[in-house]
Amino acid sequence: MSVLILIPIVLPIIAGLYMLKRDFKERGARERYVAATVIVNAVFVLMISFTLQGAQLVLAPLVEGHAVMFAVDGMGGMFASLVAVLWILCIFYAFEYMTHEGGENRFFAFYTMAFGIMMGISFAGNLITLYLFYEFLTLITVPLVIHNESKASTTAARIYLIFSISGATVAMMGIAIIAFTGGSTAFVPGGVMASVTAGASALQIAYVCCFFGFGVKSAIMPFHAWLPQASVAPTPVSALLHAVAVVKAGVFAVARVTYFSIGADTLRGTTAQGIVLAASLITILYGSAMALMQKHLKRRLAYSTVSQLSYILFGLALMSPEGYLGGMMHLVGHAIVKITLFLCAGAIIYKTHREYVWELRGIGKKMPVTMVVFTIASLALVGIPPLPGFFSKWFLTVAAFGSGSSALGFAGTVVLAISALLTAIYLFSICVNAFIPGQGFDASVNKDVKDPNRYMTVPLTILAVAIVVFGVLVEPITQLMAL
Amino acid sequence: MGIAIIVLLLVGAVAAWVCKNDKTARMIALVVTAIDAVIAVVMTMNVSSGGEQVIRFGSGFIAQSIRIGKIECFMACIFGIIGFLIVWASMSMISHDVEKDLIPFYYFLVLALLGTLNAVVFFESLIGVFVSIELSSFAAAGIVIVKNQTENVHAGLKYLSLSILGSSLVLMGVVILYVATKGLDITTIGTAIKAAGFMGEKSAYVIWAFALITSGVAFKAALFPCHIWLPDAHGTAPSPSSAILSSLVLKAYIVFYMKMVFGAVGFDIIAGSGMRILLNVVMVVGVVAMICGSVLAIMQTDIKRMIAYSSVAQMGYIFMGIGLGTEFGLFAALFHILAHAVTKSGLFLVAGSIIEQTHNRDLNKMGGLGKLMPITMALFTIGGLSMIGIPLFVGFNSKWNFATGIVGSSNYWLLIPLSISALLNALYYLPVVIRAFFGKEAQEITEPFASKERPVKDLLPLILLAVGVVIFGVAAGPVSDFLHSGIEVLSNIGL
Repeated sequence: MSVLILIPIVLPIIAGLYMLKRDFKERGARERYVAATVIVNAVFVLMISFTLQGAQLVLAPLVEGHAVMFAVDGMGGMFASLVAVLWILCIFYAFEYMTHEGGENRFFAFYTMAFGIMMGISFAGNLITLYLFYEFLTLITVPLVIHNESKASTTAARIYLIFSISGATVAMMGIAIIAFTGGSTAFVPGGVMASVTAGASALQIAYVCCFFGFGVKSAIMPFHAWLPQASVAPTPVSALLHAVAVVKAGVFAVARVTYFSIGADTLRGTTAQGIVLAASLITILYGSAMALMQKHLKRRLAYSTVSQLSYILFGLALMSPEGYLGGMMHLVGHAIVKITLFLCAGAIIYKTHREYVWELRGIGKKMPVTMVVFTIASLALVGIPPLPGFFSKWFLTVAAFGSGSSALGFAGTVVLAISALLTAIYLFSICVNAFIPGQGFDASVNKDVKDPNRYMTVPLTILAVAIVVFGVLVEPITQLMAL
Repeated sequence: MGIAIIVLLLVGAVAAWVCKNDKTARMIALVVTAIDAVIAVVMTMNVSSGGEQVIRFGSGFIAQSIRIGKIECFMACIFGIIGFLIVWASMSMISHDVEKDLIPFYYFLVLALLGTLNAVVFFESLIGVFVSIELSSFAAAGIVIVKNQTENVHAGLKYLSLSILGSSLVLMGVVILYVATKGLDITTIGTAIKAAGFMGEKSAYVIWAFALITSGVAFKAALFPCHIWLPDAHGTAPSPSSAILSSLVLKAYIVFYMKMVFGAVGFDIIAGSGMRILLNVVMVVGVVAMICGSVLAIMQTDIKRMIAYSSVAQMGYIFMGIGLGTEFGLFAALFHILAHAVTKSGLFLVAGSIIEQTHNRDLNKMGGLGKLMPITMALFTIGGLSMIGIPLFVGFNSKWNFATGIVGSSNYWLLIPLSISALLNALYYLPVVIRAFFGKEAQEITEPFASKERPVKDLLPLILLAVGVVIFGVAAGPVSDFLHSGIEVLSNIGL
């Protein structure tokens, strides 16, 4: 039965390759094909995640002694399910959105293939397999970033590629140290290094290499520059890949190294932990501050992602079960919230071609659905109870104080508070302006503005409902990912 | 059978020359290299089941011996199979670069070169090695000059002079070793050096001899900064020649060097003697070569010069592996010989195809080429990804071997240049790929919808090389095992 794990990885890749060759001419046929592939695949993912827990599949060795290996566990299964559900929503949104970008055939081919690669990352059973799919995620998403082939997007793609590939190489050095020192790259809750004490300093080097190497994809300072640049990509890419899939693949990999390979117990209290905690705190503040300064809506959201991803990294770097849980809650919560914010921004761009924050005055009355959803998501990201952001920050703060943390843990609580304030300012200023344009506002500039059609509003509404419902469910769901 | 290969290639070479007919010469070259490949594979299978053998003939000062061991057979397979694929690819490409009258002479040089390279690897007696090295230098310079353009003649002469400088340094080293050990073959020298007390008493001789051999090999194998001939020679030569020069010729000298260092001296003595210092120098210079070669490659606008500088960087990897002085390091270096040979020959042939079809060597004018020549550019992409070290391609296995080799030898700092080097590789290969598939320049200068693709039957050897890149990327296990046992045999020479 464990062979089934291969289906959600291979199916989208084959389907995508076939699209590149087939070149659908008719929109309807293409949409049916893509939707069918993605939905069938998502069903497989959910089935595998919930019924095949503990299954393992070992394929041929990729390098000496380390085979390509897949396994289903709580963390991988939940991550895969999250990505799969969001993929369905985004694909319908993209059907409508991409009509104004053109080149849909290539776009959907690579968009679908990326789904398969993401499943490879989720179900990877050891570091080598994770690394394999991680590299291919970079390569497969380049055509999506470069989509309109303009100079700006080519530059963005080049920067993305070079950042990501060098990050992965650094991570590979860490993996090589882990493989050589511990002998195993397999994922075991609690890590496989408990017996290794002699090479502790080597393991610290390995951890720092892996954290910053994989951290490149989750935009850790000072390797974050590619993410705001990549916001030139079409919105479905920014939303799904640059808020959920690609960036969280980085976080996911860091979580795997921390809790499943080297082991939190081996790393707690080391210099390496200090370094990564400090880096994540700096990134949280920096990202929020930069977001505040952006006038371009998608860039503001991108910097917000930079900041929010480091909340997760901060939680992971606390090296405690509470920190892990807080990080995972924020991983899930932020995924849903940020994808919503991006899809709202995309809806605005699609209907009005407005990309800057000051152009959104008074738009709330004309695009009520979009802006109400945007506001709900903003409230969630800031962390207003009972929305998801509140619970993850609660857990992160508890973890920062608990488990006899260092001074950096306490500093973390201050940083989280300041960042929440900054988040409130950079998001609420948009919401307030949109609904209450103030006196002397010339309403005629918004004369022709209206909400987009069902393809977009339905996914947005579903997401808004999900955010509200999820606030209540976030804890039980995350418990499924517990170590 | 080792002798059979050498004799076959040399006889074939003469036959190609005397036939005076370009079509016959091509056929002779193709058939001879195919037979060579088959013999090499059969020989490798024999060795992997039966173990190595040493054949001696002649006596006294001119006594010669040939060692048919695992490493030697590994190299013979690379020479045979990749040589065959390059010669096959040259069938449709060579008339673009070489005049019709010179084609029989060209294949004479190619076959003679392959024969002498095999001899460099197989000979155990150093006189035989030295003669083969000298002969191969002439043949190698010949396949550059044969294009008959001013720049080729200049590049070839530069190559020849530095090559001969390198051979002389090697010869001097060999002479010193002879004085110290009274031995003229690797086994005798190895027995003497590994004897108790020898490295205490005569270590100065041995280290000086190896310093000279190292610097000689540095010239022959283009170790930075002795690489100055390589970009000119590889950049201007006909593309099949560039492929042979970078993927095969450089490697023969390196394997000779490995046999000297790890066969005649061995890991144990290296670890505890002045040889360690010499190898540290080799390691550091190798690191400098990795970085500088790539930086120079980034600065190139000519596609073949870029690939040529990339070879300088890759030689740096190999020398770094040797410099580690451990089994891990040697294994990584040997595997990289294979990885680089498969990848780089493909890249040079792809570059040759591009130049042939578009008459353009300028990297900045290749935007949109992926739409005109999709298969060719896909092959370039595979080569580039392999050089960067993306998994599923052979370059990744190499990068992994180097990383674990470095960790195993506890030289953690080397991970930094290794990462930087991978980044630099990405910096010059990926922009070409991005520009080719997402740029527009080349399409504007050619008529719309014109396909520039070469027919698939001409591209077949290139495709096979790309398949090799993937096969050795996903299933390197048997090769690795073979090399590990080969290294074990090598380190026991003379004991």
